[in-house]
Amino acid sequence: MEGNYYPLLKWILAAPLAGFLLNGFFGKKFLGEKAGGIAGSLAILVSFIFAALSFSDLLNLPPENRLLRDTLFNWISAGTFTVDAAFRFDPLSAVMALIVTGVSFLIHVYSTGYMKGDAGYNRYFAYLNLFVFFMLTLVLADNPLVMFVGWEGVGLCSYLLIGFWYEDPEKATAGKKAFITNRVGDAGFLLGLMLLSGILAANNVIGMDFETLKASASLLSGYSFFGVGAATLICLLLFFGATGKSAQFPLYVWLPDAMAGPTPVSALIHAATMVTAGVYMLARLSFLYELAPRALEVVLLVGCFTAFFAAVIGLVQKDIKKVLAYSTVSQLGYMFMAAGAGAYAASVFHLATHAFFKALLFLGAGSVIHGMSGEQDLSKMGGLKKEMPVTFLLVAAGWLAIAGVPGLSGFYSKDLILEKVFEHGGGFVWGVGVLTAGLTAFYTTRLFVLAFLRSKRGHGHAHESPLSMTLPMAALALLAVGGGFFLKERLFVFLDPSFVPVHGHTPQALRLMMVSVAAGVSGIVTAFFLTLPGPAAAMKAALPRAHALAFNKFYVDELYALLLLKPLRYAADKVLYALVDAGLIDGLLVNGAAKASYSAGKALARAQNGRLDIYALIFALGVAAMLLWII
Amino acid sequence: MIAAAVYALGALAALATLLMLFQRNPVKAAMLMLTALLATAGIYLALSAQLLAALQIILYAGAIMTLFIVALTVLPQAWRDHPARAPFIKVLGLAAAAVILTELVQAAAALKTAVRPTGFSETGALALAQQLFGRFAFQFELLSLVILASIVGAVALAAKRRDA
Amino acid sequence: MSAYNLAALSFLLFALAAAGFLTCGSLVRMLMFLELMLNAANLALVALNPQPASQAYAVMLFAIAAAEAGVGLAILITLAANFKTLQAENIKELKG
Repeated sequence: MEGNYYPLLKWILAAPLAGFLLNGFFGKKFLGEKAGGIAGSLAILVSFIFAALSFSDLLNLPPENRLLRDTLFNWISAGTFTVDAAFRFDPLSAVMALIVTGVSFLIHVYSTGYMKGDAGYNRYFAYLNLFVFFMLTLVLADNPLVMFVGWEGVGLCSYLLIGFWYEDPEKATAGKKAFITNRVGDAGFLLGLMLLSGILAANNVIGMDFETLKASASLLSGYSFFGVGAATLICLLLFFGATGKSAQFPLYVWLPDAMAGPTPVSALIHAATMVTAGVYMLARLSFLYELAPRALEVVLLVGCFTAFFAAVIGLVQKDIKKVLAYSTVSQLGYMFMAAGAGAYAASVFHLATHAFFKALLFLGAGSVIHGMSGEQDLSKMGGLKKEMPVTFLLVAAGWLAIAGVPGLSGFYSKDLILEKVFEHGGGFVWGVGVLTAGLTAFYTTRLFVLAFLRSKRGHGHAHESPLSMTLPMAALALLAVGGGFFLKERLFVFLDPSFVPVHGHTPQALRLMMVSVAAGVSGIVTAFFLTLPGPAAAMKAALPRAHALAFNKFYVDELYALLLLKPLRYAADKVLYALVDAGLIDGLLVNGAAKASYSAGKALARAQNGRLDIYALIFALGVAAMLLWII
Repeated sequence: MIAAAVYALGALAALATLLMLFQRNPVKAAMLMLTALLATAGIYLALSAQLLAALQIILYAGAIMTLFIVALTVLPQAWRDHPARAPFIKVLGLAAAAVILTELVQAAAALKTAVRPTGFSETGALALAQQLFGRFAFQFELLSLVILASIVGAVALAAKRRDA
Repeated sequence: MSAYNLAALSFLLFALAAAGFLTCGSLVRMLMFLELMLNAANLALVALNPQPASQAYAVMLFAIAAAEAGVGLAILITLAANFKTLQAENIKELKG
């Protein structure tokens, strides 16, 4: 077994699990609110500390050999197919684990303030801890099957947390939608995994951990299905799963609805961690994707399209959380664009910076919602700069980061992606990316202006959020502002030891950078202009149909309902229920068995008819038969 | 000659039974039964079992037939007599009887080769009595108990309840 | 005339009486055929081996047949009184 044996890995996972069990079973009765929140946050803090310790131990190893492993038990052993419950800690996992635990910890602290007074307080922290446990399982997994366990687990926790306030049927439906859409993607993921393991098994490759996969990936080139190469098919199927988990087109529809959950949940799961699972999967299986350039093309195009598409929808949304949701979909599109261009490290970089500023933005939105006692409509906000100054400053940091203002984290990561995409040879894709960057700046500025600046349109007095909420936001703001600059070189060197940092920029890179910065700045300026009431109304009047299309999310949900849900419901009702369940199983098998027994009984009862002559006849027949047999 | 007599009387008995099958009138059926029983008595005679023949006439043709005639007289329900409605019962009954016949005949095939003890030995009443009161005395006495039991049973069943 | 022929004769009588017993509908006729069956059995007993022992048995069978006829007729009288009919298909108290 390669890699050094490192037993600390399982404790990274055990801490959130213990937190889940504690809050889940004993929270309501024994711990109460305060202790429950502290227990939940402490669990994640412990996990973060362990991750940091592992990280420092990893740094002590020579760069080519940075791998720590731990195997818990033999999970599956079916003939020659063996899978262990094993975990690995290499640079990619380290980055992910630190982000997950670090941002989670901040969000846990924030939640202690945000969810105060809620009836399901302990349940909330239990679910949140469980989510972190599954997310860590995902990023620390040593083989795709353990990763899939985490994959499914985070989907489950997402469902539990989105539908947290389950008494409201709308919120419960949103949770269901998220879970089912995820499942559709997971079907593709599983198919890809099965194909992969099938081909490997046919070649007598034992074990499915990532090292073995990397070594035997070349075996896939000999197979093809339906005219498509095996590697391409597997990568496409796995990517389909990623579109479900990471909310890309066509399976992104659950993310905007997921805003029905509590805002810290949106910050953690739908900004920083769960939705990044697809990107992580692509980075982890990069060796596989390198064998399938056509699949990478698909990834690139889907990411590009999604980024642009979601940005357009986000331009005109009224709910503050929905704007951020579409922003997340759009930024995830950027990450997939980077992966599609082969720049996996760049996508991870953007993953990190996005975690910082998007979580900050979501927490800020939560602070605003909390301060305005539940108001989420942007048109009813305004002028919060005076009433919530701390939030204003911190959200401003996030705003500038995502808009790509030079020097902040978003600028570095987004710019790098656009540069890599351009180098990959996609001039058109790069153009769309730049346009989307402009749109990103626009809608984020629009959000910022409508919420904090201009005159006050709402009622009542918004109060500033408590320290438990503003401190984590401050930490995230620091990361959003300085994280990009800090990680810029170090991340790449860390992730890929053979990476040679380039000092200075080529003239072409500088030109690209200027174009994207110009796009961002122009987006900001346009937003300041178009959010004035006059120009906004004029714009809306000028393009009413376009506005309606974007505002109604291009009717994608309605399209899915018509194409998929209606036939499914019809099939379920008329075919499966009426024919199979009621008709076949109930009618034929269950009732039919009863009726058959009854009829058989009735038929046999006719033998006991009480008629002596019949009895005599049977007797004689019996004698005859016996005589026949004997003689 | 004796063989011819036995065959003739046997045929008569068989014919009588056969005609009984198709006879509707119960009295005529009873008469045919009497014929069959008398024919059997004749067969006994032909086989030199004279005492048996006499007893046959006395008991079967005399006592049992009388009982049947009495029953027919006493029971008006006996006159409402029609055969079994369902034809398949008749078919099955005939089939069963036929099968039994064939099987028995087949079983008796072993007797084809057996040599019948020659002669219709004059088995007199004395020899019979010696058997009855000698070897089978116990069974004979038990038989009287059987008859007693049957009398008691018949009286108990058929007697009308008298309100004392 | 061998024992086989006599046996066949008695079997024929028995079978005919059995056929009648199984196909008739009235209980009285059933009893009549029953007596004929017993009669045929008696004949077989005597015809096959005309020894005194078999004849003695035949005498005992006479007595039993008479006793049985008496009891049977008594049962018939009771049935007729209770069920008002002597058709076998109508007396179905044992049904079920």
